[in-house]
Amino acid sequence: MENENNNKKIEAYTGPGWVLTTLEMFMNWGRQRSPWPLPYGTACCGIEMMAALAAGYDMARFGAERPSFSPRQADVLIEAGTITKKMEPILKRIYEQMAEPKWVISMGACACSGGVFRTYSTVQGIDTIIPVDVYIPGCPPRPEALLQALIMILNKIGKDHPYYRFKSELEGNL
Amino acid sequence: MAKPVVEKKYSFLDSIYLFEILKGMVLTMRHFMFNFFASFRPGPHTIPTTWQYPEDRREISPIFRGEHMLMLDEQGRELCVGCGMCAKICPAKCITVEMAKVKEGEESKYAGKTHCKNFNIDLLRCIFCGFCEETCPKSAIELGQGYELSRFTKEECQLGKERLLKNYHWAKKNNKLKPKKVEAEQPKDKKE
Amino acid sequence: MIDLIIALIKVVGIWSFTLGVAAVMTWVERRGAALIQDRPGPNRAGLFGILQPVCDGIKLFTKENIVPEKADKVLFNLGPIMFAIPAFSAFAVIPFGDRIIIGGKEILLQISNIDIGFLYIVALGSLAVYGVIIGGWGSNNKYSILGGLRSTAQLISYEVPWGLALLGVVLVYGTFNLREIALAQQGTFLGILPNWGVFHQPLGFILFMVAAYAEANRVPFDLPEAESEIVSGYHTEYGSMKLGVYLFGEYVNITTLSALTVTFYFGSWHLPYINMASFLGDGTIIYGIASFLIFCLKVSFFLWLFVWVRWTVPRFRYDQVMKLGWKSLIPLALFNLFITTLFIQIKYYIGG
Repeated sequence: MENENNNKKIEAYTGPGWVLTTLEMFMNWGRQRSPWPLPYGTACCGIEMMAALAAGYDMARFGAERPSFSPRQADVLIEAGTITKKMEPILKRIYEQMAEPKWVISMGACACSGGVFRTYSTVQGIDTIIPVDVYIPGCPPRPEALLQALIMILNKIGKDHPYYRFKSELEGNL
Repeated sequence: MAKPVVEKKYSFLDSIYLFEILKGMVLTMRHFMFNFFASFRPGPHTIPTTWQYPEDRREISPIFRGEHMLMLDEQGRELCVGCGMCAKICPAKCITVEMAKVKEGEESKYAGKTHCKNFNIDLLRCIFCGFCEETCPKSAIELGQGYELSRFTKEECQLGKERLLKNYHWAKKNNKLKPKKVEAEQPKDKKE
Repeated sequence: MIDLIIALIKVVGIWSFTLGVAAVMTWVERRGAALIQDRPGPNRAGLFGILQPVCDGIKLFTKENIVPEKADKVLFNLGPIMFAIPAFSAFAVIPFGDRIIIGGKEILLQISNIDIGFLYIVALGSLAVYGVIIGGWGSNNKYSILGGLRSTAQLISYEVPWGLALLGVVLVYGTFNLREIALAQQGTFLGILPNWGVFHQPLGFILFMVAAYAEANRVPFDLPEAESEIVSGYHTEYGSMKLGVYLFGEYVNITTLSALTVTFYFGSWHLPYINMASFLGDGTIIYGIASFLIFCLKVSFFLWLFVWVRWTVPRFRYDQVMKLGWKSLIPLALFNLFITTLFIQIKYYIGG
């Protein structure tokens, strides 16, 4: 029993120290308040995404003021709409061109799983191509649902460890 | 009949364009001043045109097609008999129903002679058309007012029976159930 | 020796002042744009979103720095630097206020008081073109080069009316030295009008404003970075802090142009009819601070004007931009110069 307690104390000292955890907190605080979206609207869900970016349900309140169409400058890829087999390599390329750290929101039934369209030409869910962080069901989802998904991504950023993503000591401390 | 194209002649003042810009700037200044003073109001709904989710939620219409719920009757018995008509008519084929006979001691829980053992709706396929609600012979499934459906994983987006019943209880508690459907009155005189 | 220290203090002060103004301008732009468009704008990062520029800066610093494989490394890295440096350097000759006399030593609120200040400004304006074209070419991307070429053509065609309009002011006040121009805007002429540049040269002022918007790549002339047309123009391939330098440099550019407008046309630190030096004492610290504050107030009005016009007017088409520059502004600028010289000659022959 005492041995375990001693081990726990030693683990606490060998984990990430005060400077790096405060720095991580600082970075997460900054990243949480300015997610720049890449509005990848291909179909009807794009209209609801535009509604979320417009004056009715303002997405710029969360700092997403600058929807950039260049993947190098965007953080969050909001994929809204049906993806056909022709569009598949393009979506993969855009995702790979984005700079780390990046997150993906899959908006609407067609993006999450093919939706109604179980055909040869529609990709049955974009998570067969790119890793997805948040799924939003709906056809189309309300703009508030998109804002909820964005808030979920922001909370996920808040728990992120930019420095210790791969260090195994952190798994011991979690 | 095609509309003839009319070439608009610009007056001299119009073609300078500076006066038009000034008129536009007066309009934007009016908007700015109104919103600037409005943003100091108390409460989450400060600017009149914006609904500031998550503190400020909009009122949803009672016939909104949102998250599904399985209905109970006045005595609290489940109305669903597990017939599977909703699964047959669903355009996206997202409903899975399994029927089972009602056992001897459980008649107080279920309204019919059979009930649904498993009832699963895949929310990621559902297009929220409302066909299942229209076709159900027992009016057992209804589309409620839930729209905050985003989740982190695909497994969390599958509606099982417990979640469907939970939606019903929540809607009943918050008084968000739809009013009962009333049969339209047939016209008495059919000859005219 | 003491001169060097004073100059260093001035340089550091004006540098940090410019950076601070550019950072606050990002917040003003977003909030002003939002309030004009009937929506709140950023309000999560601190009260009314005032810490939003800080968050943006942190996010841009910690993003991955991507350099495309086939891009020219030297030019790619040089682009943002060449864009920001001329904008900062123009502040070396702009007078921020009147002088302060401490212990017999005269300290001007201006980094360097050279006799050819006007030529320095125009030369730096021409250097600003390099940042855009180098960034566009170095990216190895067809959208970037298209945006870079468009921007270059726009910048060099609008430098001619810009310089010519400023030349009218130089002719009226008779000197290239910026401090002399600012000092000469004291008092009144024709009885009731203040001696400001805008009343001497109303047509020149309008030409200067239009050309200044084109020089800053701001709406209505922001086709080089238009999003729906050519993705992001010349800064498509830039991520992380290089993009931050481009965006920041744009705001510093705007600040420089506003400061130039105020210096040449709006009576640098003078109030309209009041002679402040007479009742505050010429050379006291109070007078120095007061003149600095008046200058800042006027510059902030013109900064707000940049934001205001951006969200009022739609973007011009590219051929409309070129037509306006070459067919309307340059003839008007030459006409302005002609009228100015005519009036000066008439005044010379009448006044003696």
